[in-house]
Order: sequence, then structure tokens, then C-alpha cells
Amino acid sequence: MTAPEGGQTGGPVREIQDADGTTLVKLHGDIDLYCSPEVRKALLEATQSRPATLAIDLSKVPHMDSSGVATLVEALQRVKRYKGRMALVAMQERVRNVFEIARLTDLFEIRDTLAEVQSRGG
Amino acid sequence: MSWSGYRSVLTTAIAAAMLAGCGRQVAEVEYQQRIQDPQAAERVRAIVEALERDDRSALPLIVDRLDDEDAAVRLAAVSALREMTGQDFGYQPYGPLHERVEAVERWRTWLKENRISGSKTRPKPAGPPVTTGGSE
Amino acid sequence: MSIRTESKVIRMRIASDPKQICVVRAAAEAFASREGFTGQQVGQIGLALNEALANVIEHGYEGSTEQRIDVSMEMVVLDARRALRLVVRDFGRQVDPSAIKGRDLDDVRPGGLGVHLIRAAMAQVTYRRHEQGGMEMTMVKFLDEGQGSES
Repeated sequence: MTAPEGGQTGGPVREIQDADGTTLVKLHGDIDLYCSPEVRKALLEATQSRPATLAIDLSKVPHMDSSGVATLVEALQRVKRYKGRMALVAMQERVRNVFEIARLTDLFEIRDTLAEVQSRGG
Repeated sequence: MSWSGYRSVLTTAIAAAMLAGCGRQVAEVEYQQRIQDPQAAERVRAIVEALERDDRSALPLIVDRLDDEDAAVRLAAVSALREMTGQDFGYQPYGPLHERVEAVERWRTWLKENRISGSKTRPKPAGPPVTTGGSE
Repeated sequence: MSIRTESKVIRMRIASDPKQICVVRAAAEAFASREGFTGQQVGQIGLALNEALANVIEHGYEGSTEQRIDVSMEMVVLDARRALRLVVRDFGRQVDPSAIKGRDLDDVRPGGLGVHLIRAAMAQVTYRRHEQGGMEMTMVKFLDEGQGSES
């Protein structure tokens, strides 16, 4: 289990920013069956305003299990419903490995940086 | 172009159009079949595709996936149903089994009341039937 | 097949509460790391154990959070290769062999994402019905797997 940064005891969703039609959600720590309910709620809230682009920063997520992947699929479905765009950004290798093994990599737009997401605007 | 040449082109064009129509039907059956694929990842993909197509004929198949042995598939299923119908009947994909069973019954009742019975060409499962409620 | 156990065994008993999964996973990852597994391997071990425990809670105990799960982890030498052996023991529903219809016990859930992840991460995965009730799942990862190609 990854300790929160700086000794903080915050949850897995640390920041939601909105700018120029892009909503950025930053996730922290392990995304698993225990943490995922909070992540689900946060993603639900982020999609309610129907941002043109929803970017999910995973740079601080060292571990994700199948329930975390499922949560992201759910968010993807919400975004696809209103013809929006969703991108996963800065995935760590371990997490990327989970998506690859689960064979769901091609379901998502995966980018190394937020700048890439914005430069390839949908 | 001679009349026979014109007829040849016309016949080819009609055949292509018919094939295109058949192709669409085949594609629909194919993707709906994948909703019952032995692999969970394929079932998830196909459910996402049903949502993108806004294919209400796939609703019964997606409701079936609420009983899926895989929680990720169940979540994808209820998420698609929620987006397509505006409701979820309180179904929790990670909730206790008995609660899920009750919610699935509400979904099946809703399908009956709304007379949604799926496409006329109901696909056969792509592989071995997916067991539900299997224990280890 | 020859197997020899080393002296270090860690045993944990937890409740079937999803909150405890990350504690067990952290312990397994720390243990694996100390035994020389690479970062990638440690991640795979943690993922497999995570999924195995989630499976037990969901399927073995139907979501109940107050049931017992025993986990043990130890290094063994299997056919002259050092390996981590993880055993997850639950006391919940047993699989009825007649319902499996000819499939192996370790194939009870071939299409689930979780089991797929476990199989991809671990070299050997076996299930057995425990004679005293419940199920026992054993996962093995060899220390020398993929050595030389990982960071």
C-alpha cells in the first residue's frame, strides 16, 4: 500500500481542475476495491458537467486492480454517451501492464502527458 | 456503355448493396455475440460498443451480464444500462449477491413491461456458457 | 517434481474485508522485494494476491466482510528453482465438481478479468477443495522468471 504523499491522509482523488473544456482528475495511491468507490464518485461528478475532454492523471497511481480498471471503463462509457473524449495520462508501467494483460488498452486513449492530450484535441 | 454492360454494373451494384446490408446484420450479430464471449475483456468491449451504437436490441443481453461472474463486466453492464435507460434499479455490481439478484429481477420485469426482447437474430453464445455465482 | 521449503514463512489471518486487502498485499510485496524479486515482479505478485483475495470475498463469501481468510507466503525451491509460494485459504462455498463440467478446478473462472490477471502474473495457479471445507488457492512465482529483461 502506498503511503499518501507528505504524510497526508487524503483520499485517492486529490485534484479536479477545469480549463478550456478539459477536466483533469488527478488520482493518488492504489486504486482497488477499497479505494475505487471514492474514485467512482469523483469521476461521476467530473462527468456531470459533460467536459469535452476528461483527462485522468495516473502518474501517482502505482497499483490498480481489475476493479480500478472497471471504474475507468464506467467513466469512459459516460463520456462516450455524450460523445466526449477521455484520456488516461502518465500511466506508470505497472498499471499499464494491468491494462495490457486485461487486454483493454485499446479501449482507452492513453497519453504520456496532458500536453499531448491537449495538442491532439478531440 | 452497352445495355449488357450497364446491366452488369447495375447487378454488381445491387449485389454490393445487399451484401452491405447483410454485412451490417452480420456485424450486429457478431458484436452482440461478443457480449457473451468467454473472455471478460471481450464482454466489456462489446458492452461499450452497444452503448456507442445506442443499440436497444442489445438491452436483454446486457441485462444478462448483470449476472456475470466478473465484477468488471457487471459494472460495465449496469453503467451501459444506466446511460441508455436513465435508471439502474439500485443494482450494485460489487454488492452482496442476494441484493444483486433482486435488482436483476427488477430489470427483467422492466424489460417485460417495456416489451424489449432483443434482436430477431439472437446470437448464440460465442463460447462455453459463462457460469454465474460460481464459487471457489 | 521436487519441492523444498525454506525456513521463512509468513502467515496472516484477515477478515474478508476489502480494506484489509491492501495490508496483505503490502506485506507480500515487501516480502517479495526482500527476497530479490524485481520491481515488476513485485507488482505482479501484489496484483495477483489482490485479485485472489477480491475473488474470495466476492465469490467465496458473497461479499460478507466478517469471514476468515488465511494467507501464507514463503520461499520454496521447486525443481531446483527458487520461488515464492502464496496460499490463500478460505472457508466459504466450495465449488461443486459436477458443476465444473469437466474443467479443471484451476479453471473455474476462465473468463474473469481477475483470474486472467492472476494467471498472467503467476507461473502456477491451482485451486483445490479443502477437505476441511472451503477452497485453497496456491500461486507460485519463480525468482528467475524473465530475468534480464526487466528493469
